[in-house]
Amino acid sequence: MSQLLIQNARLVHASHTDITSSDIYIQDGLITGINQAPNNFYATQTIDAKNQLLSFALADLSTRLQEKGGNHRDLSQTVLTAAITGGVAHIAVPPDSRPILDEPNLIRLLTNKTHALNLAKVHPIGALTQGLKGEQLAELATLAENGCIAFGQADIPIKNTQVLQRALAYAASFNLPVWLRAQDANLGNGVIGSGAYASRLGLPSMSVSAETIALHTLFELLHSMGKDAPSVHICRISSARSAELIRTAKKEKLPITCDVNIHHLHLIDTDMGYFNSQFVFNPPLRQSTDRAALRAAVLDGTIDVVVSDHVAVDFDSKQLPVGQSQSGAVGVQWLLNLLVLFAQESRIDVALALAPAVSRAYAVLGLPTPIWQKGSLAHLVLFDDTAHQTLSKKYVGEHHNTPYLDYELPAQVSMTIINGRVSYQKLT
Amino acid sequence: MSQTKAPWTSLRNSRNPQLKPDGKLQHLLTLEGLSRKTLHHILDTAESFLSLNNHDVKKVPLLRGKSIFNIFFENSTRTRTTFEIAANRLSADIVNLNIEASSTSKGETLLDTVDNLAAMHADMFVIRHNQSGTPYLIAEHLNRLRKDDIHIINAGDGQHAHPTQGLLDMYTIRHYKKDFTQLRVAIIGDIMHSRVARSDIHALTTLGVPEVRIIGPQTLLPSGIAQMGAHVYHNMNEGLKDVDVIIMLRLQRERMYGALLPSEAEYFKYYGLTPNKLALAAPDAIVMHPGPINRGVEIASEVADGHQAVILPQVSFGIAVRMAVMAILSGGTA
Repeated sequence: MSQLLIQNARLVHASHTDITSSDIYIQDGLITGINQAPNNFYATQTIDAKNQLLSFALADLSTRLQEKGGNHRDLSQTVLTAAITGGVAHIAVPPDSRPILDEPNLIRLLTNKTHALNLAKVHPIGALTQGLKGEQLAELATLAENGCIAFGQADIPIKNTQVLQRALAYAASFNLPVWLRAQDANLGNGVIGSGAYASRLGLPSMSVSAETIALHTLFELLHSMGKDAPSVHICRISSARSAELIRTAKKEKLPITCDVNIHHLHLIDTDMGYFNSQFVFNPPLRQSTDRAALRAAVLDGTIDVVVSDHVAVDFDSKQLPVGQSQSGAVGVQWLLNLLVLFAQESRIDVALALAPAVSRAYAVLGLPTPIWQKGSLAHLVLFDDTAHQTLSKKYVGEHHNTPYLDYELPAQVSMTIINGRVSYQKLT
Repeated sequence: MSQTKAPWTSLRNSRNPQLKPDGKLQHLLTLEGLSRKTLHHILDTAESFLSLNNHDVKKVPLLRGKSIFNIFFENSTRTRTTFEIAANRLSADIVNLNIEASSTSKGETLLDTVDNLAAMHADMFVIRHNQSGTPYLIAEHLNRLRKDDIHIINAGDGQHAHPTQGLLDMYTIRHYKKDFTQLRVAIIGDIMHSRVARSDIHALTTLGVPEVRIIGPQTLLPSGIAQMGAHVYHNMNEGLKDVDVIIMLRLQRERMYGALLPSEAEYFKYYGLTPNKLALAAPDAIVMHPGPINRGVEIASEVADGHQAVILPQVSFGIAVRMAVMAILSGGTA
C-alpha cells in the first residue's frame, strides 16, 4: 500500500495560497492527514516540497486526443502523458474526432482504452446531434449511460434553431448538461477577429456579432424554457461584448457557465504578425480590449473556466497560407504555466489564476469541490512558480503547433499525483 | 500593466521578412513599412528604365544569366506578361509557370512546389496566389532553408497586397502630379476585396498624401479601414469633390452574389465614374484603373477613353517599375 508524505509544501487554495508550509499525508488515493500523521502511517515515499506550491491537479475542459489534419492519428497516450506532465488530472474530450463521438460503443472504447493507460482521466463529451450535422438528435440518454458527461457540437454550430431548441429540451429531460460554442453558422467563418488588423492583412475575419448573435439566440431559448432549461456550458467566448452578455445572463439566473481559451487571455490579433499560422484559433484572436475584458471576466467569475483547447495539428496542415491552415494549438501541458503567467501579469495570487482550471473546472465537470481536508481525493500537482522553462522543439515534441515555441514560460511542474500515486516526476 | 505586448510576439514577429538586416530589400512582399526614401528610390530607378522605351534596343544586360520564375497560382495575363517583358528587358531568363490548382490536385503541397523550383537554381520568384500571406509563407520557408539568394516579388496575394501595382500607381501619380504632399486622392469601388487598394493606401500615406479618400458602399469596405489612414465616403458625389487623382477599382461579377450588391446597374448608377461625376473632381484630375476595366460597370467609356484617363500609360509605367524592382532586389542598382 502506497503511503506518501509531502513535506513543506505551500498549499494553493481556491482563493489564496498559504504563506506557511504544510505536510500532507496520503494513503489509498486519499488525503488522510494535514500537518498531522494519521495513525499507523509509514511513508513509503517522502517528498521534500520546500519552496514549492501544492495544488489540486487541473481539469482541462477541452483537450483532443486525435491529430487534426493529416491522418487523424490517435494520440491518446501522448496527450494524456502531456496532461500529467502539466499537472492536469482530468480532461474533457470534444466529440469532433474521427469517428465522431455519437455512438455508445465509441464512448466505451474511448473510456476503457484511456482508463487502461492510468494517466489523466478522460471525460467524453458526446455529440448532441448525429454526426454533428445539426439535424437528428444523438442518443443522448444512452450515451450518458455509457459515460458521456455532457453533449455538444464541438466547433460545428447547429444552423437550424428549432433543432437547437429541441436538443436543449431533450437534454433537459434527462438532466444532461449541454456544452455549446456560441457561433453563428453564417457569420462564423474567418481566421482572425474582424477589425483593422484583419483588414490590413486582407484575411477572412470573424465579427464579434458571430458570437453575440448565437449567445442571444441561446439565451432566449433558455429564457423561454424557464425552469425546464438544461444547464448549458458556453465554450470559448472570445470578445468583450460576449463577456458582458454572459454577465447579464448570469444576473438573470440563467443556468449557464462559461469558459475561455487560455490563449485568448494572452494573445491578440496583431500577434499574428506577418501571417503566422500558429496564431489561428477558433474562435479567432481579437483586439486588446477584448483580451482585457476576458481577463476581467475570469477574475470576477463571469467566465468560470479557462481551458487549453488542446489540439495537435500535423505539421503540414500549418504549413499553408493562413486562410487555409488548420486552427488550434497544443497546450494541455502548459495550461498551468500560462495561468501562472496570467497571475504574474495581472499581479494576483496564483491561486486566483488556477481556480478557473481547478475548483471551478471541477464544478462544471460535476466533480466534488477539492478542499484541503481529510478524505479529499489526492489528485495533486507540485510546482515551482518561480522557475521557468523554455519550450524548445525537442521539449515540445512532434506536434509543436504552438505560438510559444522557443519562448520561456514561468513555472515548472515537478510532480503530478493521481489517485495518491506519483504519475509524473520531473527528472532532476 | 507594465507589459503591453507578450515577450514571444515582440521577438517573433518584429522582423520584417522583406528587409535584410541592413534595411535593404530582400523581397518585395508589401509596401507597408517601406520608407518614403525606398519608395522614391524604386520610382527613380523606374524612371531611368522608362527612357529605354525610346531606344531601338530596349534591353539592358543587368540580369544576364539570372533565372526568374513567374509562379502564378491564380489566373492572370496582364500582370504576368508585364513581369515577363520586364525580365526580358533586363536580359534575365524567365520561366512562366501556370500552376493554379494542378500541382496541389496531384497532392503536391505549395511548399513542395517551391522546393522543386528552388532546386532549379532560381534567382527570383514572382508569385501570385489567391490566399493572403502566401508569399510570406514562402519567404519564411526559404529563410528556414537558408536559401537567402532567392528573392520573392509578390505579384498579388489574396486581398492583402499587390505592391508592384501600388508602385506603378505611385509612379503614374508622380509623373502627372509631381508633388504628393498637396494631393487629394480617391480610391473607388470594391476596397474590401482589393489588394491594389491596400497597397495604394500604404504607399500614398507614406509618400505624404494628406488626404486619401475611399469611396464605396459599406458592403465593399473592410472594417477598420480608416485606421489605415483613409477617409471613408459612401456618397461618390461628396467623395469626388476637388480630388486630384481618381483610382477606380475593378468590380468582379461575383460580387453580385452573396448580397454584397443588388445589381451592376445600380452599382454603376451610384459608384460608376461618369463624365458628370468626373466634373466634380479638380479640373486637371487624372483617372487611373489597374485594369482590366469593366466598361459600364465601374467606369463609363467616355471617361475610360477620355483625355483625363491615364490607364494605358499606367501599363507602360508598370513595365519600368517591375524592371526597377527586379534590378534592385538582385542588387543590380545602388
